[in-house]
Amino acid sequence: MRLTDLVRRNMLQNMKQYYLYFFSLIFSIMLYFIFSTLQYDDVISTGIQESDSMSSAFYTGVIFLAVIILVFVLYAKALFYKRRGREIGLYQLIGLSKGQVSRMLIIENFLLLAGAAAAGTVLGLIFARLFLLLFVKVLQVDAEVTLQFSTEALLQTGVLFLLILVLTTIQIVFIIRKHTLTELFRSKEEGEGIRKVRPVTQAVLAILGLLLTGFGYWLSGNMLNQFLFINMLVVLFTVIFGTFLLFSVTISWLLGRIRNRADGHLSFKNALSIAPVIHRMKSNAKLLTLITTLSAVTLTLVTVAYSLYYSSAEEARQMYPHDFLFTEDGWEEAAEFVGRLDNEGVEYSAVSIDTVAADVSLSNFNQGFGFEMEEWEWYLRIAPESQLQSAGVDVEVAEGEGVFFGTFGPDMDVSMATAAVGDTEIAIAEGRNFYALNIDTNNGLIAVDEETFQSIDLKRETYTAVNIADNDARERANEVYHSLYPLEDGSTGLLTFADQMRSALEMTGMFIFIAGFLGVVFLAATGSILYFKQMTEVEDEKGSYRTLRQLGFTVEEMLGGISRKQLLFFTLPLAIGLLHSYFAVQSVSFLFRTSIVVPVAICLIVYSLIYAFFYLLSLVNTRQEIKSVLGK
Amino acid sequence: MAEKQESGQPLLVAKDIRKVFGSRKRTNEVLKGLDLTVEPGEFVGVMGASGAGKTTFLNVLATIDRPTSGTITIDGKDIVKMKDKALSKFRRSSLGFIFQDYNLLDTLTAKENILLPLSLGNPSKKEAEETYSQLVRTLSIEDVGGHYPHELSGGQKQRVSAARALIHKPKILFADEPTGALDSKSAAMLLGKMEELNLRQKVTIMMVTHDPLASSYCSRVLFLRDGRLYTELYRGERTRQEFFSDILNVQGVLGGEVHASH
Ligand SMILES: Nc1ncnc2c1ncn2[C@@H]1O[C@H](COP(=O)(O)OP(=O)(O)O)[C@@H](O)[C@H]1O
Ligand SMILES: [Mg+2]
Repeated sequence: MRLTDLVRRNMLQNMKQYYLYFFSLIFSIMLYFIFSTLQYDDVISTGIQESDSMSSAFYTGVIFLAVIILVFVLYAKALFYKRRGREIGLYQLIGLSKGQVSRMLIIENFLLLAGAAAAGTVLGLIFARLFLLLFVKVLQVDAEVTLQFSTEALLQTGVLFLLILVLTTIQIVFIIRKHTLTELFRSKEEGEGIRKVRPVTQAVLAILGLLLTGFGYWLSGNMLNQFLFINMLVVLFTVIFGTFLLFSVTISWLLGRIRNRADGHLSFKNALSIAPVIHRMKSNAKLLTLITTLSAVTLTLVTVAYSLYYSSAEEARQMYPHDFLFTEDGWEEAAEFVGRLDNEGVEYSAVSIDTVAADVSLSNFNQGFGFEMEEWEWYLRIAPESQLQSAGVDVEVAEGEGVFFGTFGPDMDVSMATAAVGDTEIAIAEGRNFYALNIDTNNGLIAVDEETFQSIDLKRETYTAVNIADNDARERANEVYHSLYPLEDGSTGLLTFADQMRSALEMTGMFIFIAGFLGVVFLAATGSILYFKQMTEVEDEKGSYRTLRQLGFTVEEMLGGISRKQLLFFTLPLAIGLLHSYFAVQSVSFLFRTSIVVPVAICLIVYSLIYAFFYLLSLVNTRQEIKSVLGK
Repeated sequence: MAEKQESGQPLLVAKDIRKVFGSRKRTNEVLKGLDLTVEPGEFVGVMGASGAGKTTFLNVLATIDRPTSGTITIDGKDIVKMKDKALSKFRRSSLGFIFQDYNLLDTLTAKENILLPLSLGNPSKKEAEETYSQLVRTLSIEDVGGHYPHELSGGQKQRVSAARALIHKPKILFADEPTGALDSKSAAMLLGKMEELNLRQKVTIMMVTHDPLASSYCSRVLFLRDGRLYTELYRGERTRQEFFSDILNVQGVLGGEVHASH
C-alpha cells in the first residue's frame, strides 16, 4: 500500500472523531475572515464617528481571535495524537520509519487545514454581508451596506492559515520524535494513575481551595480603596489559584467523602460517574482551571459589554437629562433654535432655569470611593427646585435643605453632609448619582428651595432647557441644532442628548459586537475541547463497557451512569465560571447606573445553553460509540 | 453457594448447539452440534486445543453470545428465546463470570468492583456486607478491599474477580481461562479456592482451560475437538494426580499441546 493510500484511509477512518474539530475550525476561520473584512471595510471607517477606535478595536479582536484559534487547534491536536498513540505505534511496528509516519500525519494535517481554511473563507465571504448588516443594526448607524471583497482580509486569513500550518507541523514532528514504541504497550494514560495523598493533607488543601476562592470573592466586593491595584492582583491570584485547588483537590475530596460513606457499596450510577471523575480529576485539573478562568473572563467581558449596551440609553439620560441645554452665553442661539423649531412645526417645551455657580465648601461628604475627606471645596452650581421641576427633573427639597446631583461613581453617603456658600448653610438631604443639568455644563448641582436660592447673593446665569417628547422629532431637532453649532472641532456648542446616545451606542455597540463574537468563538473552542475530552474518555473506557455488558448491565443502564459523569464534567467548569463572573460583574457594578439583571441573565442563559448543546452532542455520540463497541 | 436445587433436575441443559461465524460467502462453523447437561454442584472443565471453540461454547452457554441453532435452558429457563433486556437481567442475577484478563474496572477499588453486580438493585447493605466478608475470607483477599486494581498482583486481581462473580450468589459460575495470565503458584491458589467453593459451598462451576493441571481440579472434564465433543472424563473418587494423568493421556490422543512443564 502506498503512503498516500494509507493517509487517505486513515483520514476517512478518523473523520468521525474529527468532524466536530473540523466544523469548529471552519467556524473560527469564517469568523476570523469576517472580522478581518470588517476591519478593512469602508462603511465602518467612514460611516462612524468613532471610526479610529473602531478599527483598532477590530484589530485587537482579530489578534484575540487568532490566539484563541491557535491555542484551540494545538490543544485539540495534542488530544487527538494522544488518542492515536496506538495507531502511530502500529505503523512503526509494521515497518514505517518515524519520518514516514510524520510525513503521513503532516499530509493529513495539511489536507484537513486547507479544507477548513477554504471552507471557512468561502462561508466568510457569504456571511460577511450578513454580519455587516448586523453590525450596522447593533450600532444603529444609517449607512449603505455595500461590502467589497477585501484582499487584505484574504491575506490576513492566509497568514493565520500559514501560522497554524507551521505550528501544527512542528507539533507533529515533535510528538513523533518523542513517541516511543513502548507507549503502544502501555495501556493507561500517563498521569492518570491514582496517587495516594494523605487524607489530612488533602482535606487541608481542599478547604484552602474553598477559602482562597471565597476570600477572592469577598475582596472583589470590597476593593474600592487606595489599594485598588494591589487588591485587584490579590483577587486575581486567589481566585485562580483557588480554582486550581478546587479542581485538583476539593472536588475529588468532596466526591470522595460521598464515596467513602458508601464503603464500597456504590450505586451503579455513582460507580460510573463519581469514581471516574475522581480518578481523572487530577490530570484534568489544569485544563479545567484554564477553561473555567478563561470562561469567566470572557463571560464577564460579554456581560459587561451587553450591560453597557443595554443601559446606554438610560445612562445617556442620566448624563443629559435635557435634550438640549443652552447656557447664559447661548441665549441668542436658544432663541433662534426655538424659532426654527416653531417653523418646522416641532412640538417642544422650553424652560428657563436660573442658576448660580460657586465654590461650595462641603463637609462630611463621602463620595464612596473608599477614602474620606472632612472638608473640601468644589465648584458647583445651585438652582431652585421649582424651575428644575418644570424642566422635568424629579426633585423635592424641604426648607434649608438641598439635593445633590452629579458624580458618576459608587453610591455616596451624604447623611451628615452640609454645604456652605458664603453665609448660606445647606443641609444635604440626598445625593443622587446623576445629573440635573447636562453633564458638560456643571460638575454637580445642588437643588435648593426658592428662599435659600434668593438668599445667595451671586450673579444669576439663566439656562434654557429644551425637551422634545417625540423621538423622530428630537432627531430632526438635533439636525437643526447642529446647523447652529456644527459638530466640528472648535465649535462652541454643547453636545445634546441625541449626540450622547449616538456615541454611546457606537462605543458600546462595537464593544458588544466584538466581545460577543470572541465569546462565541471561545465557547465553541472550549465546548469542543470538553467534548473531545469526553470522547477520549469513552475510548479509554471501552474495555469497561464490554465487561459491564458481560456482567449483565444494559447499554441504557451504563448511559445513565455515563451521562451523570459527563454532566459533572460539563457543569463544574460552567458553574464555577458563572460564579466567578457573577462576582466579577458585581465588583464593577458601580459602572452601571441602571439595573443589569436582564442582560446578565440573558448572557448566563445563552452561555449555559451553548454548553448544554455540547453536553447533548457528547451524550448522543457516546451512545453511538458504546452501541458500536457492544455490537448492537 | 447456589440455592438448593430440586433433586434430579439438571441446572443447565444444552442440546445440539451450533454456532456459525461469518457472512453468507465465507462461513466458519465453529460449534457443530454440542450437547451438555450440568447437574447442580458440578465443577465442569472444558478442554481443547486453541481454536477448538471453547470460548465460543462458553460464551453461548453464558448468554454472552447467541447460538446459531440449538436450545439452552439454565435453571429451567429457555435463554435462547429470551429478549436482550431480559437476558441482561438474567445474566446479572443468575450468572457469574471470571475472565482471563480479570476485567476489573480501574477506577473502582477492589471492594467496589466486587460489589458492582449488586449496585443496581437495592439489596440490604447488611446482607451484602455479610456475603462480601465471607467471600473475601474464603478467597484470602480481606486486606485489599480499599486498593485499586493497579495496586494488586495478578493472583489477587483474579480472586477479586472471582469474588465479584460470586457476590450475587449466581446459579452457575463461568470461567474462561481464569489462570491463563497467572504464574503457577497464583494459579494453584486460585484453583484451590475454586475447588473449595465448589465442594464446601456447592457452587456450580464451568471452566474453560487448555491447561491439564487446571482441569484436574474439576469433577468432570469435556474435550472439544473441531467443534464436537470428543470425549469426557469423570474424576470420581480418584486423586487429583491420577485424574491429571488421565487427562494428559486423553490430550495425547487428541493431539493437543501437552504441557510437559507441569
Ligand atoms: N466473533 C467471531 N467471529 C468470527 N470468528 C470467530 C469469532 N469468535 C471466534 N471465532 C472463530 O472461532 C474459532 C474458535 O474460537 P474460540 O472459541 O475462541 O477458540 P478457543 O477458545 O478454543 O481457543 C476460531 O477459529 C475463531 O477464529
Ligand atoms: Mg479461548
